Amino acid sequence: MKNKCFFFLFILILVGAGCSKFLDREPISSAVEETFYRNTAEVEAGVLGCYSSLRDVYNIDPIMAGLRSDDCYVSESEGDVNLIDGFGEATTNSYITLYWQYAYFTIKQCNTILKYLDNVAEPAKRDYFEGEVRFLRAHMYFNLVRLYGDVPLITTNIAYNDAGYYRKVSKDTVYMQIISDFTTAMQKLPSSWTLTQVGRVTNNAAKGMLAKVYLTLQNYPASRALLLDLIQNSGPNQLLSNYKSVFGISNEMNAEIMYAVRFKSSSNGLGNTFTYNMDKLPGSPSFKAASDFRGNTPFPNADSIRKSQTFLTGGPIYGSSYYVGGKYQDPGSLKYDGGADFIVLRYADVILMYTEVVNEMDGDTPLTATDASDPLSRLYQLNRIRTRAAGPVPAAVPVYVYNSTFVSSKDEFRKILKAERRRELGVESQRWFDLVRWGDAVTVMNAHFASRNLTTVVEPYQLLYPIPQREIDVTNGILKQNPGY
Amino acid sequence: MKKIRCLLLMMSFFLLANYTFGQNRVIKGKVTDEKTGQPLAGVTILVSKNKGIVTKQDGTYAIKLGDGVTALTFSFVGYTTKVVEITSTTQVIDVALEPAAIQQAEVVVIGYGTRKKAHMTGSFSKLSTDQYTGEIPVARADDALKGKLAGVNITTTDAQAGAAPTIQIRGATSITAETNPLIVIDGYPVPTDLSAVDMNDVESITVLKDAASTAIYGSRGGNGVILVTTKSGKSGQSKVRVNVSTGVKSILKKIKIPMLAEWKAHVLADNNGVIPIPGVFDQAEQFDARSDPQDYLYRQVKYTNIQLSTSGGTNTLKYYLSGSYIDDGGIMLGNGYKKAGMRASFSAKIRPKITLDFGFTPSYTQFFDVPISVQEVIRLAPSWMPVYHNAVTSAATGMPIGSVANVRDFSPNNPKYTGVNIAQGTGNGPLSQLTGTTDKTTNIRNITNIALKFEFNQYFSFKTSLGLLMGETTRNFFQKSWAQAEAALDGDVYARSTSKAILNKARTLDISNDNLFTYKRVVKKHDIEVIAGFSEQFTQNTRFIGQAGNFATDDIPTLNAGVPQVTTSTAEEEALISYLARFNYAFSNKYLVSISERIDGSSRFAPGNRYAAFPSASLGWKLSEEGFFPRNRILTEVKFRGSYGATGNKNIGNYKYYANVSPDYVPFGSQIIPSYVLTSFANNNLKWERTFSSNLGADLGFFRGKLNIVLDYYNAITDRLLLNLPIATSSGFATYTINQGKVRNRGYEVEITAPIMSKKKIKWDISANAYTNKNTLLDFGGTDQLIQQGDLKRANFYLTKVGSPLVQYYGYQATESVVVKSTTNNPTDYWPIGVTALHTFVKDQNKDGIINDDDRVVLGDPYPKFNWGFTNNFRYKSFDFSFTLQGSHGAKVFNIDPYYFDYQSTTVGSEAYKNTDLYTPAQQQSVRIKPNTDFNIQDASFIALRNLNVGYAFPEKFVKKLSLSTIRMYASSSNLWYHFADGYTSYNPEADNGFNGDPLRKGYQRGAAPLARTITFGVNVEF
Repeated sequence: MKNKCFFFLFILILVGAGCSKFLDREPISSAVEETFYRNTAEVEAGVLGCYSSLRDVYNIDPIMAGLRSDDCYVSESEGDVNLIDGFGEATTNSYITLYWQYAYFTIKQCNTILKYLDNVAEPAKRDYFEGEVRFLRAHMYFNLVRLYGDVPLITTNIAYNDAGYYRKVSKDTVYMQIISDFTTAMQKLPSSWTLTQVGRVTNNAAKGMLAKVYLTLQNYPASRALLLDLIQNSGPNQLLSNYKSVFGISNEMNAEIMYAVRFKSSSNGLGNTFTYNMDKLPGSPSFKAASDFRGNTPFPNADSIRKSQTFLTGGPIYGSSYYVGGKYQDPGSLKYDGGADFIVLRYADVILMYTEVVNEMDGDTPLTATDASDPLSRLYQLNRIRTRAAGPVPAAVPVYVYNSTFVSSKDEFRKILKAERRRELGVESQRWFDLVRWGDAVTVMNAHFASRNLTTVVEPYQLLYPIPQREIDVTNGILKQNPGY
Repeated sequence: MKKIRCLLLMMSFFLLANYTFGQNRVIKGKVTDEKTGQPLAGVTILVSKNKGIVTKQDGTYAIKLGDGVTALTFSFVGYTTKVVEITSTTQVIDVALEPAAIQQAEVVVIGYGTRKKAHMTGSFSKLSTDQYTGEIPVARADDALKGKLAGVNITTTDAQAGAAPTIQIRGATSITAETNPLIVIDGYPVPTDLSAVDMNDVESITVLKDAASTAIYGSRGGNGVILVTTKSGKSGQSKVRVNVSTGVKSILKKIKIPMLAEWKAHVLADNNGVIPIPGVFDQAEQFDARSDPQDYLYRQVKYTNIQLSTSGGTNTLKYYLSGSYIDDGGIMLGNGYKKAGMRASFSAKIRPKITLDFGFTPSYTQFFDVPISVQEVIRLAPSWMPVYHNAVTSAATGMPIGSVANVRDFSPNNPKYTGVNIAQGTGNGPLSQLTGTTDKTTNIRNITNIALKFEFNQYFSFKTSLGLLMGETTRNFFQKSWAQAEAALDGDVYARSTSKAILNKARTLDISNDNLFTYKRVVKKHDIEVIAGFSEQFTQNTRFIGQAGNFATDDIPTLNAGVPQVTTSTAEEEALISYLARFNYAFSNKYLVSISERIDGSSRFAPGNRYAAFPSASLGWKLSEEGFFPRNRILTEVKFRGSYGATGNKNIGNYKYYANVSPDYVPFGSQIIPSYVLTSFANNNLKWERTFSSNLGADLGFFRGKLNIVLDYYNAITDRLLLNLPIATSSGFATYTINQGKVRNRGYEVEITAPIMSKKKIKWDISANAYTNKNTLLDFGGTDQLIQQGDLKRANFYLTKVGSPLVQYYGYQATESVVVKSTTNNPTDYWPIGVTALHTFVKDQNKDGIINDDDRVVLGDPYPKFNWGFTNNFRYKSFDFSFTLQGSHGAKVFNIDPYYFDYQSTTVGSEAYKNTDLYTPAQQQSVRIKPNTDFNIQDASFIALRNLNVGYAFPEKFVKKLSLSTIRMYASSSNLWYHFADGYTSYNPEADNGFNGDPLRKGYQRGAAPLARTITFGVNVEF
């Protein structure tokens, strides 16, 4: 009897002795950084992860950069979306907080990949990967600097409490980093990807984004060189002949699309939220266009193609209202699970940027009759956009194409160019940045609110969002609030 | 004691004197104590009512019997009477008598053992279940404990049938880590809540509260420990118990829904007094159905509870078997709970010194969750709209008579609608949403324990036990195409696209092994108990999630009928190793000591930080046992207790110390490709959260046990909080899991028990408890304060600030509501007088003339300041009567419901303050929406009659004729009476359903389910 008991005891002590291994439990359903990013495949999976987190940024970009402008307003009369729309946001506004968070999260992914690039065996792939993550990082900083102004600049992997990095860095320094990153990306990225990889960024995309950065900084010569290159050697990208086929769920990543954040419905949560937000659906906040955008002044009758693509209107469902989800339709997709991509840069934008740069540099030289047929003139390029907008039978509306006498001055050309950008790129999150770049934001927005019979007045300090209150709190005030808030 | 025994001995001799002659056979044997094996002298052995003998000094006896005797009855004071059947050939009967329960009542179940109640030095609350506790018409064991235990706050955070209440023992000790207490069922720490036990099967529940008691559970003791002891068989004739009750459940209190006149006033208030759409009021008057959505949202339902149990056994094999079925209907459309469970427990003496215990508890539960919260549906049911289309609305909308009416039928959404655009709402009404959606969660669970106990000698034993929990929870969600959409209006394509099915499966496998040596000995005045042992526990959780949409039919709810959308699965594992030891010592029943130590190792921390020690010590002094204590009739028992100890918490989830790289996807090309996203910083320094708590207590007994008062004061400081520290997101992440921060909880508790009368005809006892808890945030990881926003849409604010309670409501102080008054340019016909808009003027706290963030102040907190409970049990002859009252005072809730209901079906606006004719720009500036202010903060205090029982036991004579031992009929109720504080306007002041139990955003109510009142009738039969 006693022996049996001791035998039992002996077994138990043995079991107990094996305990150190018993407690070793590694994650089953996720990897860990210490043992990941070790080879080409793993680093590549991480590069793709940078694109994953981009989805979060672009789910709310239509609120932060779209709704903020006079492109649209929200039907909801309360809440954080409404407050962004109406310039009444508190520093605790959740979208202002989340955009910052998602952007830096994406930057963190990029910085992490840069750290492990040496584990990539093939030099060609290493270059591609570096180009991709530098591109995405530059894109995030470009958005941050335009929305928040001076921001902390993080280009390495910092510790959770590295207070040295909390401080704002001047916009100029951030832009230097953006330019450097896009430039490297432009050199290292391929011109296209295989069919199964379509959606990853290319050197054309980097070129176009860099041109936009220079344009924003009003460095016209630098911007012009890049745009000219894109006009002359467009590579895989081109202006589609039909405006409508640029959009639509069945023709995504067509030749005109240079860079888009990709979404897919019914696929493990890869869908977007903005398709639902911009439509009139049960419970949707419903983004609508105000009369100053949907009316006949911005959209003359001849522009019916772009107008009908931009807005959802008419019929038993929409009635006389104009919802702005026209470019993001995905029939049959579920609430908050739309499949439409969000286009960040397309070839039409390159053309319009080119005309803008040329006008800024050469606009004082009057247009001549030959400009209408000179492929490098601003008039010719602008007319490419207008011709396409008029539809397949341009002869029916000949007046729609500008001629040299119609546009009398640099200012006049600016005016028609601004209107053109608005119609062409409506509800693509371009408008707000355009208004700020042109210095028109305060005037235009105040006129917009007046047209909605609202007393809201936009102050110049509101061209930048406040720094999220949470960030100021957790850095114990090292990070300073933007002036005015 | 001795006197009684002598008396008995004499009585026995008297019986012997009446002994009649005529015996023709002899039965011999020996009677011993079952526990000690010592012979028992003076045990009465009866052949019939008047015939018998007593045992000799060595416990032996010899009795001569006549024919026809079939049984012998062995009885002795302090022991359970035993009846032994005999056959004509029986010659020897050795009997071991079991000490009676009266003596056992003095023993308290503690972690890894028991201790005499008189020797307890730690703080605990004990609930011995009686017949009443099993009869309270609630589906869950935790619901039956409400109001009965000091320091144990059980709140109905979700009043739905079957929903788990929140249990918090002595306040919230952590922010990020969970604060649920550890549940131990028959010695097995189960990774589940109290739904795993049936109240009818519970023998007793002990709640260990201070560190000295819980430190033996080390890592998991930080939030308190609930020890459940289930019923077990006793040797003797088998007993059968049948308890059947059934009754009705109905809503406790409805709220007032605005009817047409009020609705009109609100619409005007929201629109600067202008009728937003011409003719809209005439239109509403035309439809006016005067329907209150509560009439069809809530219903009267049945409550049924059937339980059957049998127990019994011999000296070597005891058993307890039970089966139960509970059908707890949900008063809200779509809610319901059913549970079927069984329990089998056996205890076998397989060798003279080896005992085998076996318990087996399979159960099945089915829970229907209401898929949409109350406020969402109520506001979609304006009072002018009928539930089903009537002739008038049918003519106007083109919808068939008798079909469910939805607000959108009355808008331009509906091309056939001919009337004024009365409804801006685009949603479906409550009836479509609730009947078109099913959210069913089923749970299959089995808990098995096996324990083997070796007794080396009468002092020294070893017990090894194995616990196994296997559980699978399956959630089946199905939303039909007409729940959220209406094909006639939205088109069939869209309606189909809203159909959706979700299948979630979560499997839990938990294996636990405990090995324990116990040495227990009483030598003269020294009472010693030493335990030492170790345990291992392994938990594995696997999850599967599947989702499909776009169902072609509403008739098939399984995934195969829809377009697959999500398929994913995950798994995780956890391991725990523990070493434990405890030394309990009592000298002369006066000086009491308990010292314990536990070392825990967890897989949740990096090597090097896995192990932590959780020591504790406690002392007790029984003053009333001292010679100098003046003997008196009033104060008869005095004991002082003091304890100090450390406990831990590791409830942060697995793998938190790693820098996790989580799989995700990107949609490239035309397919989706796996991608990996870095989601957290690594922290190899992560370690156990610790709570150091001290407890001072006194046990006072008056009038020889007629009044007992237990007083406790505790001070618990939790430091190295496992905190998701908010960090600068420019670092890449929003939080960092770290040991930082400090929280203090302190409070007072008093428990009073008074067995006032205990006579044959009349029995009356009362018990009461009261407690307070105050928590204070002492350190928040270097940050002084954090202001968080609650609801995104109707912003309210929470403040977490060092030096204050964990969380407080924060915002503006409302002064007066914006009132809609007449102006010159508005029609006067519809002037609402004194109607208030959804905005309010707020106070300029710093009087700087501007209303901004600086004018926000603390507006209260969600913690009760004072809790109490009162239980009364009274029996007179065959009648019994009992009740439990519970009260909670001082907590506030942020109740957003009034805002919703105000807003019900009004149209755009709510901006009356922008009426420039009435309000100056300065006034307009000092306006905030009501949720920004204290307007929605309400007093959550309440007093509830948790249960009330009335019973009648049939007279023994009558019962015996039916060969039964008990027949008792009873009526029972829960929440028969429930008093809300003034100013509380919703359905359940205890509710907290805003942010998934986030402790820093506590106390938010948004469409919480209503409380129910249950009244049942039952019968309890035993034989």
